[in-house]
Amino acid sequence: MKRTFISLVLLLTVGAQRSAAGEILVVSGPNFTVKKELTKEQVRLAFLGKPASVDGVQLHALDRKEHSVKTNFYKQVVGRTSVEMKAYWSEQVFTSLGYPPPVAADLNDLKKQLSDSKDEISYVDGSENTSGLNVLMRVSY
Amino acid sequence: MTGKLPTRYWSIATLALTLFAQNASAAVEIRGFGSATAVKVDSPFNWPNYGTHGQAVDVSNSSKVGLNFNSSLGDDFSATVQLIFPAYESSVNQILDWGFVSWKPNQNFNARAGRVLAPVWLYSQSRNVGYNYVWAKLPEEVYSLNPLNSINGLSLLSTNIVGPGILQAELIAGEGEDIKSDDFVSQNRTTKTQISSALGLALSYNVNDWFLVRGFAATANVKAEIDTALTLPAGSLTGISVATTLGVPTVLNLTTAKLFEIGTKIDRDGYLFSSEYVRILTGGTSEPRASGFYAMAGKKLGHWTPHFTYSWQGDLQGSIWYHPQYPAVTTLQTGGHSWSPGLNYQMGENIVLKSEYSNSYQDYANASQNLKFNVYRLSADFIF
Repeated sequence: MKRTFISLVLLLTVGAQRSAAGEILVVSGPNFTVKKELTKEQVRLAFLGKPASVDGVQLHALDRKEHSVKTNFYKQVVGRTSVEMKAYWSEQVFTSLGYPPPVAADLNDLKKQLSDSKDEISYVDGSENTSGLNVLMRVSY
Repeated sequence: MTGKLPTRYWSIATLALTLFAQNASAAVEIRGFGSATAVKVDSPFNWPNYGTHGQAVDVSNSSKVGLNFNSSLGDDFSATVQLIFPAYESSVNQILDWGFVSWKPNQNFNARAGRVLAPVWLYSQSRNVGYNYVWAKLPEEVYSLNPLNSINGLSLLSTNIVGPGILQAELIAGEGEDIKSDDFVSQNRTTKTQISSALGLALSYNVNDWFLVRGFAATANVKAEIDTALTLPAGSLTGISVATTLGVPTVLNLTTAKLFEIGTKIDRDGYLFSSEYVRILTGGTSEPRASGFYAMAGKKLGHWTPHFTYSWQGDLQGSIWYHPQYPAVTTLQTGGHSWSPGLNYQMGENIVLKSEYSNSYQDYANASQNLKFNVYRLSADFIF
Protein backbone atom coordinates (compact mmCIF):
# COMPACT_ATOMS: atom_id res chain seq x y z
CA MET A 1 0.00 0.00 0.00
CA LYS A 2 2.81 2.33 1.02
CA ARG A 3 4.72 1.44 -2.15
CA THR A 4 1.64 2.15 -4.29
CA PHE A 5 1.15 5.49 -2.59
CA ILE A 6 4.77 6.50 -3.19
CA SER A 7 4.51 5.44 -6.84
CA LEU A 8 1.38 7.53 -7.26
CA VAL A 9 3.00 10.58 -5.69
CA LEU A 10 6.03 10.13 -7.96
CA LEU A 11 3.83 9.80 -11.02
CA LEU A 12 1.85 12.92 -10.14
CA THR A 13 5.04 14.86 -9.44
CA VAL A 14 6.55 13.88 -12.80
CA GLY A 15 3.25 14.67 -14.52
CA ALA A 16 3.04 18.06 -12.84
CA GLN A 17 6.65 18.83 -13.79
CA ARG A 18 5.90 17.93 -17.39
CA SER A 19 2.78 20.06 -17.56
CA ALA A 20 4.68 23.01 -16.16
CA ALA A 21 7.69 22.49 -18.42
CA GLY A 22 6.99 25.58 -20.43
CA GLU A 23 4.52 28.18 -21.54
CA ILE A 24 4.00 30.01 -24.79
CA LEU A 25 2.28 33.38 -24.85
CA VAL A 26 0.52 34.69 -27.92
CA VAL A 27 0.95 38.46 -27.84
CA SER A 28 0.05 41.71 -29.56
CA GLY A 29 1.12 45.32 -29.27
CA PRO A 30 -0.71 47.98 -27.23
CA ASN A 31 -2.64 49.25 -30.26
CA PHE A 32 -4.12 45.85 -31.12
CA THR A 33 -7.81 46.42 -31.80
CA VAL A 34 -9.28 43.20 -30.40
CA LYS A 35 -9.80 43.27 -26.66
CA LYS A 36 -10.43 39.63 -25.88
CA GLU A 37 -8.60 36.33 -25.69
CA LEU A 38 -7.94 34.48 -28.92
CA THR A 39 -8.60 30.81 -29.51
CA LYS A 40 -5.96 28.33 -30.59
CA GLU A 41 -7.76 27.85 -33.92
CA GLN A 42 -7.71 31.58 -34.72
CA VAL A 43 -3.98 31.73 -33.99
CA ARG A 44 -3.30 28.55 -35.97
CA LEU A 45 -5.12 29.88 -39.03
CA ALA A 46 -3.32 33.23 -38.86
CA PHE A 47 0.09 31.51 -38.85
CA LEU A 48 -0.90 29.35 -41.81
CA GLY A 49 -1.87 32.46 -43.79
CA LYS A 50 -5.54 31.47 -43.75
CA PRO A 51 -8.45 33.81 -43.03
CA ALA A 52 -8.62 34.41 -39.29
CA SER A 53 -10.73 37.24 -38.02
CA VAL A 54 -11.98 38.29 -34.61
CA ASP A 55 -14.70 40.91 -34.25
CA GLY A 56 -14.21 41.83 -37.89
CA VAL A 57 -10.45 42.30 -37.51
CA GLN A 58 -8.32 40.16 -39.82
CA LEU A 59 -5.40 38.73 -37.85
CA HIS A 60 -1.91 38.88 -39.35
CA ALA A 61 0.97 36.80 -38.07
CA LEU A 62 4.46 38.02 -37.20
CA ASP A 63 6.84 35.08 -36.99
CA ARG A 64 10.17 34.68 -35.23
CA LYS A 65 13.62 33.64 -36.38
CA GLU A 66 14.87 30.16 -35.58
CA HIS A 67 14.52 29.86 -31.86
CA SER A 68 13.39 27.14 -29.50
CA VAL A 69 10.16 29.04 -28.85
CA LYS A 70 9.37 28.82 -32.56
CA THR A 71 9.66 25.04 -32.56
CA ASN A 72 7.48 24.80 -29.45
CA PHE A 73 4.92 27.28 -30.78
CA TYR A 74 4.42 25.43 -34.06
CA LYS A 75 4.26 22.08 -32.32
CA GLN A 76 1.83 23.18 -29.58
CA VAL A 77 -0.36 25.73 -31.37
CA VAL A 78 -0.16 25.05 -35.11
CA GLY A 79 0.30 21.29 -34.65
CA ARG A 80 3.18 20.93 -37.12
CA THR A 81 6.88 20.17 -36.99
CA SER A 82 9.45 22.40 -38.66
CA VAL A 83 9.77 19.90 -41.56
CA GLU A 84 5.99 19.95 -42.02
CA MET A 85 5.98 23.76 -42.03
CA LYS A 86 8.73 23.78 -44.67
CA ALA A 87 6.61 21.48 -46.80
CA TYR A 88 3.49 23.59 -46.19
CA TRP A 89 5.10 26.87 -47.26
CA SER A 90 6.85 25.19 -50.18
CA GLU A 91 3.45 24.10 -51.45
CA GLN A 92 1.97 27.55 -50.89
CA VAL A 93 4.84 29.58 -52.34
CA PHE A 94 5.67 27.49 -55.40
CA THR A 95 2.01 27.10 -56.36
CA SER A 96 1.43 30.84 -55.99
CA LEU A 97 -1.08 30.47 -53.16
CA GLY A 98 0.69 32.41 -50.42
CA TYR A 99 3.85 33.47 -48.65
CA PRO A 100 5.02 32.91 -45.08
CA PRO A 101 4.49 35.72 -42.56
CA PRO A 102 7.18 38.36 -41.96
CA VAL A 103 9.80 37.51 -39.37
CA ALA A 104 11.00 39.52 -36.37
CA ALA A 105 14.76 39.34 -35.89
CA ASP A 106 14.59 39.25 -32.07
CA LEU A 107 12.38 40.19 -29.14
CA ASN A 108 13.16 43.91 -29.45
CA ASP A 109 12.30 43.87 -33.14
CA LEU A 110 9.12 41.94 -32.37
CA LYS A 111 8.04 44.57 -29.83
CA LYS A 112 8.91 47.35 -32.26
CA GLN A 113 6.91 45.82 -35.10
CA LEU A 114 3.91 45.08 -32.89
CA SER A 115 3.93 48.49 -31.21
CA ASP A 116 2.15 50.27 -34.08
CA SER A 117 0.15 47.37 -35.41
CA LYS A 118 -3.59 47.05 -34.95
CA ASP A 119 -3.94 43.51 -36.30
CA GLU A 120 -0.61 41.66 -35.92
CA ILE A 121 0.00 38.89 -33.42
CA SER A 122 3.15 37.00 -32.48
CA TYR A 123 4.39 34.73 -29.70
CA VAL A 124 7.00 34.67 -26.95
CA ASP A 125 8.27 32.15 -24.49
CA GLY A 126 6.77 32.39 -20.99
CA SER A 127 10.22 33.24 -19.64
CA GLU A 128 10.73 36.22 -21.97
CA ASN A 129 10.10 39.82 -20.97
CA THR A 130 6.60 40.79 -22.09
CA SER A 131 6.62 44.44 -21.04
CA GLY A 132 4.72 46.54 -23.57
CA LEU A 133 2.87 43.51 -24.95
CA ASN A 134 -0.70 42.27 -24.49
CA VAL A 135 -1.06 38.57 -23.76
CA LEU A 136 -3.89 37.16 -25.86
CA MET A 137 -3.50 33.46 -25.13
CA ARG A 138 -1.42 31.14 -22.95
CA VAL A 139 -0.44 27.61 -23.91
CA SER A 140 1.26 25.37 -21.36
CA TYR A 141 3.13 22.30 -22.42
CA MET B 1 -3.62 34.22 -81.46
CA THR B 2 -4.86 36.98 -83.80
CA GLY B 3 -6.32 39.89 -81.88
CA LYS B 4 -5.09 38.53 -78.57
CA LEU B 5 -2.14 39.52 -76.46
CA PRO B 6 0.72 37.13 -77.23
CA THR B 7 2.21 35.13 -74.40
CA ARG B 8 5.52 36.95 -74.45
CA TYR B 9 3.86 40.27 -73.63
CA TRP B 10 2.24 38.86 -70.51
CA SER B 11 5.66 37.58 -69.47
CA ILE B 12 7.46 40.82 -70.21
CA ALA B 13 4.80 42.87 -68.44
CA THR B 14 5.05 40.79 -65.28
CA LEU B 15 8.84 40.82 -65.29
CA ALA B 16 8.81 44.57 -65.82
CA LEU B 17 6.50 45.10 -62.88
CA THR B 18 8.74 42.99 -60.68
CA LEU B 19 11.77 44.98 -61.72
CA PHE B 20 9.81 48.17 -61.14
CA ALA B 21 9.13 47.04 -57.62
CA GLN B 22 12.83 46.40 -57.15
CA ASN B 23 13.70 49.87 -58.39
CA ALA B 24 11.10 51.33 -56.08
CA SER B 25 13.27 49.89 -53.28
CA ALA B 26 10.74 47.23 -52.37
CA ALA B 27 12.38 43.99 -51.28
CA VAL B 28 12.39 41.11 -53.74
CA GLU B 29 12.19 37.76 -52.01
CA ILE B 30 13.89 34.92 -53.86
CA ARG B 31 13.20 31.26 -53.18
CA GLY B 32 14.01 28.18 -55.18
CA PHE B 33 13.53 24.50 -55.72
CA GLY B 34 14.97 21.77 -57.87
CA SER B 35 15.09 18.12 -58.78
CA ALA B 36 18.02 15.97 -59.83
CA THR B 37 16.46 12.86 -61.33
CA ALA B 38 17.89 9.78 -63.01
CA VAL B 39 15.46 7.61 -65.03
CA LYS B 40 15.88 4.29 -66.76
CA VAL B 41 13.25 2.51 -68.84
CA ASP B 42 13.91 -1.09 -69.87
CA SER B 43 12.18 -0.84 -73.21
CA PRO B 44 13.63 -0.50 -76.68
CA PHE B 45 11.27 2.38 -77.42
CA ASN B 46 11.51 6.06 -76.53
CA TRP B 47 9.20 7.23 -73.76
CA PRO B 48 9.65 10.98 -73.49
CA ASN B 49 6.61 11.24 -71.24
CA TYR B 50 8.29 8.93 -68.78
CA GLY B 51 11.39 11.10 -68.81
CA THR B 52 13.76 9.10 -70.96
CA HIS B 53 14.87 8.37 -74.47
CA GLY B 54 15.97 4.81 -75.16
CA GLN B 55 17.36 2.44 -72.59
CA ALA B 56 20.22 4.56 -71.27
CA VAL B 57 19.94 6.23 -67.89
CA ASP B 58 18.56 9.70 -68.54
CA VAL B 59 19.24 12.58 -66.15
CA SER B 60 18.26 15.53 -68.31
CA ASN B 61 14.55 15.05 -68.99
CA SER B 62 13.27 15.41 -65.44
CA SER B 63 16.05 17.42 -63.76
CA LYS B 64 15.45 21.11 -63.25
CA VAL B 65 15.95 24.15 -61.04
CA GLY B 66 13.29 26.77 -60.35
CA LEU B 67 13.46 30.28 -58.97
CA ASN B 68 10.59 32.20 -57.44
CA PHE B 69 10.70 36.01 -57.21
CA ASN B 70 8.11 37.84 -55.16
CA SER B 71 7.90 41.54 -54.57
CA SER B 72 5.43 43.86 -52.92
CA LEU B 73 4.01 46.62 -55.09
CA GLY B 74 2.55 48.50 -52.18
CA ASP B 75 -0.62 47.92 -50.20
CA ASP B 76 -2.40 44.73 -51.25
CA PHE B 77 -0.49 44.41 -54.56
CA SER B 78 2.45 42.15 -55.35
CA ALA B 79 4.24 40.76 -58.40
CA THR B 80 5.46 37.19 -58.64
CA VAL B 81 7.51 35.37 -61.25
CA GLN B 82 8.55 31.73 -61.23
CA LEU B 83 11.19 30.58 -63.69
CA ILE B 84 12.07 26.99 -64.54
CA PHE B 85 15.45 25.98 -65.89
CA PRO B 86 15.18 22.40 -67.14
CA ALA B 87 18.32 20.40 -67.83
CA TYR B 88 17.16 19.94 -71.42
CA GLU B 89 17.13 22.70 -73.99
CA SER B 90 14.07 24.90 -73.62
CA SER B 91 12.62 28.07 -75.06
CA VAL B 92 12.11 31.32 -73.18
CA ASN B 93 8.39 30.64 -73.24
CA GLN B 94 8.94 27.35 -71.40
CA ILE B 95 11.27 28.95 -68.84
CA LEU B 96 8.52 31.24 -67.52
CA ASP B 97 6.52 28.84 -65.37
CA TRP B 98 4.17 31.57 -64.28
CA GLY B 99 4.19 35.25 -63.44
CA PHE B 100 1.45 37.61 -62.43
CA VAL B 101 0.40 40.68 -60.57
CA SER B 102 -1.70 39.90 -57.54
CA TRP B 103 -4.25 41.96 -55.66
CA LYS B 104 -5.04 40.59 -52.22
CA PRO B 105 -7.11 43.07 -50.23
CA ASN B 106 -7.61 40.52 -47.45
CA GLN B 107 -7.01 36.85 -46.68
CA ASN B 108 -10.37 35.93 -48.22
CA PHE B 109 -9.79 37.13 -51.76
CA ASN B 110 -6.95 37.10 -54.25
CA ALA B 111 -7.15 38.31 -57.85
CA ARG B 112 -4.22 37.52 -60.17
CA ALA B 113 -3.57 38.65 -63.73
CA GLY B 114 -0.78 37.39 -65.96
CA ARG B 115 0.36 33.84 -66.55
CA VAL B 116 -1.34 31.87 -63.80
CA LEU B 117 -1.13 28.19 -62.94
CA ALA B 118 -4.23 26.25 -63.87
CA PRO B 119 -5.57 24.26 -60.90
CA VAL B 120 -6.53 21.37 -63.18
CA TRP B 121 -5.53 18.25 -61.25
CA LEU B 122 -4.67 17.95 -57.56
CA TYR B 123 -0.91 18.46 -58.07
CA SER B 124 -0.98 20.39 -61.38
CA GLN B 125 0.25 23.55 -59.75
CA SER B 126 3.16 21.65 -58.19
CA ARG B 127 4.13 19.67 -61.25
CA ASN B 128 7.62 21.20 -61.39
CA VAL B 129 8.21 21.08 -57.63
CA GLY B 130 9.05 17.48 -56.74
CA TYR B 131 9.53 18.44 -53.08
CA ASN B 132 5.77 19.08 -52.87
CA TYR B 133 4.64 15.51 -53.60
CA VAL B 134 5.56 11.99 -52.66
CA TRP B 135 6.42 10.61 -56.11
CA ALA B 136 9.62 11.00 -58.10
CA LYS B 137 7.22 11.74 -61.00
CA LEU B 138 3.51 12.45 -60.87
CA PRO B 139 1.39 9.47 -62.01
CA GLU B 140 1.79 9.50 -65.78
CA GLU B 141 -1.59 7.92 -66.52
CA VAL B 142 -3.35 10.95 -65.03
CA TYR B 143 -0.95 13.85 -65.39
CA SER B 144 -0.13 13.27 -69.06
CA LEU B 145 -3.80 14.06 -69.74
CA ASN B 146 -3.52 17.63 -68.45
CA PRO B 147 -3.57 20.02 -71.42
CA LEU B 148 -3.71 23.20 -69.32
CA ASN B 149 -0.53 23.77 -67.31
CA SER B 150 -0.87 27.50 -67.18
CA ILE B 151 -2.99 30.12 -68.86
CA ASN B 152 -2.48 33.74 -69.73
CA GLY B 153 -5.42 35.45 -68.17
CA LEU B 154 -7.09 35.89 -64.84
CA SER B 155 -7.52 33.91 -61.63
CA LEU B 156 -9.96 34.82 -58.88
CA LEU B 157 -9.45 32.92 -55.63
CA SER B 158 -11.86 33.05 -52.74
CA THR B 159 -11.06 31.48 -49.35
CA ASN B 160 -13.66 31.17 -46.60
CA ILE B 161 -14.19 29.26 -43.39
CA VAL B 162 -17.25 27.05 -43.83
CA GLY B 163 -18.22 24.69 -41.03
CA PRO B 164 -15.18 22.82 -39.71
CA GLY B 165 -13.03 23.51 -42.76
CA ILE B 166 -11.83 26.01 -45.33
CA LEU B 167 -13.57 26.28 -48.68
CA GLN B 168 -11.55 27.61 -51.59
CA ALA B 169 -13.05 28.48 -54.95
CA GLU B 170 -10.84 29.49 -57.87
CA LEU B 171 -12.16 30.75 -61.16
CA ILE B 172 -9.73 30.93 -64.08
CA ALA B 173 -10.21 32.43 -67.53
CA GLY B 174 -7.80 32.98 -70.38
CA GLU B 175 -5.78 31.29 -73.08
CA GLY B 176 -2.62 29.25 -73.31
CA GLU B 177 -0.12 27.47 -75.45
CA ASP B 178 1.77 24.26 -74.83
CA ILE B 179 4.56 22.91 -77.01
CA LYS B 180 5.78 19.36 -76.59
CA SER B 181 8.52 17.70 -78.57
CA ASP B 182 8.94 13.96 -78.63
CA ASP B 183 10.48 11.41 -80.89
CA PHE B 184 9.42 7.93 -81.79
CA VAL B 185 11.62 5.35 -83.47
CA SER B 186 11.90 7.17 -86.79
CA GLN B 187 9.93 10.35 -86.18
CA ASN B 188 10.42 13.70 -84.49
CA ARG B 189 7.14 15.28 -83.52
CA THR B 190 6.34 18.71 -82.16
CA THR B 191 2.84 19.10 -80.83
CA LYS B 192 1.67 22.67 -80.36
CA THR B 193 -1.57 22.96 -78.46
CA GLN B 194 -3.33 26.31 -78.45
CA ILE B 195 -6.02 26.83 -75.87
CA SER B 196 -8.44 29.72 -76.07
CA SER B 197 -11.56 30.80 -74.23
CA ALA B 198 -10.62 28.61 -71.28
CA LEU B 199 -12.94 28.91 -68.31
CA GLY B 200 -12.49 26.71 -65.25
CA LEU B 201 -13.66 26.43 -61.66
CA ALA B 202 -11.83 24.57 -58.91
CA LEU B 203 -13.49 23.94 -55.55
CA SER B 204 -11.61 22.50 -52.60
CA TYR B 205 -12.56 21.85 -48.99
CA ASN B 206 -9.83 21.35 -46.41
CA VAL B 207 -10.63 20.11 -42.92
CA ASN B 208 -8.02 20.67 -40.18
CA ASP B 209 -5.19 20.49 -42.72
CA TRP B 210 -5.37 16.70 -42.96
CA PHE B 211 -8.32 16.05 -45.21
CA LEU B 212 -8.81 17.67 -48.61
CA VAL B 213 -11.42 17.02 -51.21
CA ARG B 214 -11.51 18.98 -54.45
CA GLY B 215 -13.08 19.08 -57.85
CA PHE B 216 -12.39 20.90 -61.08
CA ALA B 217 -14.36 21.50 -64.22
CA ALA B 218 -13.32 23.48 -67.27
CA THR B 219 -14.21 24.13 -70.83
CA ALA B 220 -11.83 25.43 -73.51
CA ASN B 221 -11.34 25.67 -77.22
CA VAL B 222 -8.37 23.55 -78.20
CA LYS B 223 -6.44 23.52 -81.43
CA ALA B 224 -3.52 21.16 -81.89
CA GLU B 225 -0.89 21.28 -84.61
CA ILE B 226 1.39 18.30 -84.98
CA ASP B 227 4.52 18.73 -87.07
CA THR B 228 6.02 15.35 -87.80
CA ALA B 229 9.47 15.02 -89.30
CA LEU B 230 9.55 11.51 -90.69
CA THR B 231 13.02 10.24 -91.48
CA LEU B 232 12.98 7.52 -94.09
CA PRO B 233 16.02 5.32 -94.55
CA ALA B 234 17.98 5.48 -97.76
CA GLY B 235 16.82 3.25 -100.59
CA SER B 236 13.99 1.12 -99.39
CA LEU B 237 10.95 3.41 -99.65
CA THR B 238 12.18 6.54 -101.33
CA GLY B 239 14.41 5.13 -103.98
CA ILE B 240 16.93 7.81 -102.98
CA SER B 241 20.42 6.82 -101.92
CA VAL B 242 20.47 9.05 -98.80
CA ALA B 243 18.15 9.20 -95.80
CA THR B 244 15.23 11.56 -96.45
CA THR B 245 13.32 13.65 -93.95
CA LEU B 246 9.74 14.54 -94.78
CA GLY B 247 7.79 17.22 -92.94
CA VAL B 248 4.19 16.16 -92.33
CA PRO B 249 2.11 18.91 -90.70
CA THR B 250 -1.26 17.96 -89.29
CA VAL B 251 -3.77 20.41 -87.87
CA LEU B 252 -6.31 18.97 -85.51
CA ASN B 253 -9.04 21.37 -84.64
CA LEU B 254 -10.47 19.77 -81.55
CA THR B 255 -13.09 22.43 -80.98
CA THR B 256 -14.40 22.42 -77.43
CA ALA B 257 -12.73 20.39 -74.70
CA LYS B 258 -14.28 19.63 -71.34
CA LEU B 259 -12.21 18.55 -68.33
CA PHE B 260 -13.45 17.12 -65.07
CA GLU B 261 -11.56 16.05 -61.98
CA ILE B 262 -12.34 14.89 -58.50
CA GLY B 263 -9.64 14.14 -55.97
CA THR B 264 -8.89 13.70 -52.31
CA LYS B 265 -5.81 13.90 -50.13
CA ILE B 266 -5.33 12.71 -46.55
CA ASP B 267 -2.26 13.31 -44.38
CA ARG B 268 -2.92 12.32 -40.80
CA ASP B 269 -0.79 10.77 -38.07
CA GLY B 270 1.81 9.84 -40.66
CA TYR B 271 -0.67 8.04 -42.92
CA LEU B 272 -0.82 9.36 -46.48
CA PHE B 273 -3.51 8.80 -49.06
CA SER B 274 -4.18 10.50 -52.34
CA SER B 275 -6.51 9.65 -55.20
CA GLU B 276 -7.88 11.31 -58.32
CA TYR B 277 -10.21 10.53 -61.17
CA VAL B 278 -10.00 12.70 -64.27
CA ARG B 279 -11.91 12.76 -67.53
CA ILE B 280 -11.49 14.67 -70.77
CA LEU B 281 -14.15 15.06 -73.46
CA THR B 282 -13.50 16.86 -76.71
CA GLY B 283 -15.60 17.62 -79.76
CA GLY B 284 -13.17 16.43 -82.43
CA THR B 285 -11.98 13.04 -83.54
CA SER B 286 -8.38 13.14 -82.38
CA GLU B 287 -8.92 12.84 -78.65
CA PRO B 288 -12.67 12.58 -78.05
CA ARG B 289 -12.33 10.86 -74.69
CA ALA B 290 -9.77 9.85 -72.09
CA SER B 291 -9.98 8.93 -68.42
CA GLY B 292 -7.37 8.51 -65.73
CA PHE B 293 -7.27 7.37 -62.13
CA TYR B 294 -4.73 6.70 -59.41
CA ALA B 295 -4.68 5.83 -55.72
CA MET B 296 -1.61 6.23 -53.53
CA ALA B 297 -1.14 5.08 -49.93
CA GLY B 298 1.93 5.68 -47.80
CA LYS B 299 3.17 5.91 -44.23
CA LYS B 300 5.74 8.25 -42.71
CA LEU B 301 8.11 6.25 -40.51
CA GLY B 302 10.50 8.80 -39.06
CA HIS B 303 12.65 10.01 -41.96
CA TRP B 304 11.38 7.23 -44.23
CA THR B 305 8.18 7.17 -46.29
CA PRO B 306 7.30 3.98 -48.14
CA HIS B 307 4.40 4.38 -50.57
CA PHE B 308 2.52 2.46 -53.22
CA THR B 309 0.54 3.74 -56.20
CA TYR B 310 -1.83 2.08 -58.62
CA SER B 311 -2.49 4.18 -61.69
CA TRP B 312 -4.82 3.62 -64.63
CA GLN B 313 -5.61 5.24 -67.95
CA GLY B 314 -8.48 4.08 -70.12
CA ASP B 315 -11.42 4.87 -72.30
CA LEU B 316 -8.94 6.27 -74.82
CA GLN B 317 -10.64 7.17 -78.05
CA GLY B 318 -9.28 9.08 -81.00
CA SER B 319 -6.39 9.07 -83.39
CA ILE B 320 -3.56 10.53 -81.30
CA TRP B 321 -2.74 7.47 -79.17
CA TYR B 322 0.07 6.07 -81.28
CA HIS B 323 2.04 2.89 -80.75
CA PRO B 324 5.75 3.80 -80.44
CA GLN B 325 6.72 1.17 -83.01
CA TYR B 326 3.64 1.03 -85.25
CA PRO B 327 2.08 4.51 -85.39
CA ALA B 328 -0.93 3.41 -87.39
CA VAL B 329 -4.67 3.45 -86.89
CA THR B 330 -4.82 -0.29 -86.29
CA THR B 331 -2.50 -0.08 -83.30
CA LEU B 332 -3.93 2.89 -81.40
CA GLN B 333 -3.64 2.71 -77.63
CA THR B 334 -6.83 1.91 -75.72
CA GLY B 335 -5.57 2.07 -72.16
CA GLY B 336 -2.86 1.21 -69.71
CA HIS B 337 -2.01 0.86 -66.06
CA SER B 338 0.94 0.72 -63.72
CA TRP B 339 1.77 -0.12 -60.15
CA SER B 340 4.59 1.70 -58.46
CA PRO B 341 6.19 1.14 -55.06
CA GLY B 342 8.52 3.87 -53.80
CA LEU B 343 10.66 4.75 -50.81
CA ASN B 344 11.53 8.31 -49.76
CA TYR B 345 14.05 9.59 -47.25
CA GLN B 346 13.70 13.07 -45.73
CA MET B 347 17.25 14.38 -45.46
CA GLY B 348 16.99 17.44 -43.24
CA GLU B 349 14.25 20.00 -43.80
CA ASN B 350 15.08 20.87 -47.39
CA ILE B 351 15.88 17.67 -49.26
CA VAL B 352 13.93 14.50 -50.01
CA LEU B 353 15.63 11.52 -51.63
CA LYS B 354 13.27 9.31 -53.62
CA SER B 355 13.49 5.92 -55.23
CA GLU B 356 10.66 4.53 -57.32
CA TYR B 357 9.91 1.57 -59.51
CA SER B 358 6.99 1.41 -61.95
CA ASN B 359 5.69 -1.66 -63.70
CA SER B 360 3.79 -0.24 -66.68
CA TYR B 361 1.40 -1.84 -69.15
CA GLN B 362 -0.01 -0.30 -72.32
CA ASP B 363 -2.93 -1.85 -74.18
CA TYR B 364 -3.51 -1.38 -77.91
CA ALA B 365 -6.35 -2.11 -80.31
CA ASN B 366 -4.18 -4.88 -81.68
CA ALA B 367 -3.63 -6.86 -78.49
CA SER B 368 -0.63 -8.71 -79.87
CA GLN B 369 1.23 -5.40 -79.78
CA ASN B 370 0.54 -4.61 -76.11
CA LEU B 371 3.60 -3.37 -74.25
CA LYS B 372 4.99 -3.95 -70.80
CA PHE B 373 8.01 -2.13 -69.43
CA ASN B 374 9.70 -1.15 -66.19
CA VAL B 375 10.69 2.37 -65.13
CA TYR B 376 13.31 3.03 -62.44
CA ARG B 377 13.74 6.48 -60.92
CA LEU B 378 16.10 8.02 -58.39
CA SER B 379 15.53 11.62 -57.44
CA ALA B 380 16.74 14.30 -55.04
CA ASP B 381 14.10 17.01 -54.65
CA PHE B 382 15.08 20.11 -52.74
CA ILE B 383 14.01 23.64 -51.83
CA PHE B 384 16.11 26.63 -50.88
